[in-house]
Amino acid sequence: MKYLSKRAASMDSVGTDCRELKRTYDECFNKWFSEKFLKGVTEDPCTALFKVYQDCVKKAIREKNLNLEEIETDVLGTEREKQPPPTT
Amino acid sequence: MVKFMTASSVFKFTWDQVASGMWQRYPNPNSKHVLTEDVLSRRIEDQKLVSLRILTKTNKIPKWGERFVGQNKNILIIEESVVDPKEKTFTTYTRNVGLQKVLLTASITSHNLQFFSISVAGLAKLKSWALPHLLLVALGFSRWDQVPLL
Repeated sequence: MKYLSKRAASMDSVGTDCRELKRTYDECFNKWFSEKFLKGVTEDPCTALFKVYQDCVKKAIREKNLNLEEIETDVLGTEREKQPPPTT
Repeated sequence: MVKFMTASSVFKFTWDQVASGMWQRYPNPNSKHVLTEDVLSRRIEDQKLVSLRILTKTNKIPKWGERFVGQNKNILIIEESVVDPKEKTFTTYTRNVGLQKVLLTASITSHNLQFFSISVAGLAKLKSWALPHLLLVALGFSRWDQVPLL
């Protein structure tokens, strides 16, 4: 399955201003993922686009007072994965 | 009280198709309750792609439940994933942030090899009230997100 064409509907971002940045990044990522990464090429050409998009998302998260620290905590691959989630 | 659930399905697509499709599930008409989807971090580690995504979903509470959780509020979902193109595995760990005192779910899914099997383990942990306890479990499972693949 090829990545979706540019005419496909785009998904909203948590930051309303980030939507276009997200769309641009997703197009780059989906193309690289299916055409390169799955065939063993790990060099990611979308990092610059991702940085801009990521900065926008982090700003939106802070503005909405969401818990960025809890969000960014890795669980998969750690001991916490095998535990029931904490009820903090 | 803890509930554990597993489910598996077989889909007739190549692993590459499913792996690519995992990033393109939204928007879709079967998941209108998913409001936003963002990638927060992504890196390559040992030839594998490690990503962190955040999604927000609606969280419709029936009237009787509002006094336990407040009115309808969107809920934040975190999805960590590791894609290994050599082993052909796509593993995700999904959990909700917020409402953890009332209803907590975490799921681990893995898609591997050519016959994609999806195993879903759901874990719900609730406070120990009597009847509302059981009804909240029913509510939680009736809203369990069916992963739309393609």
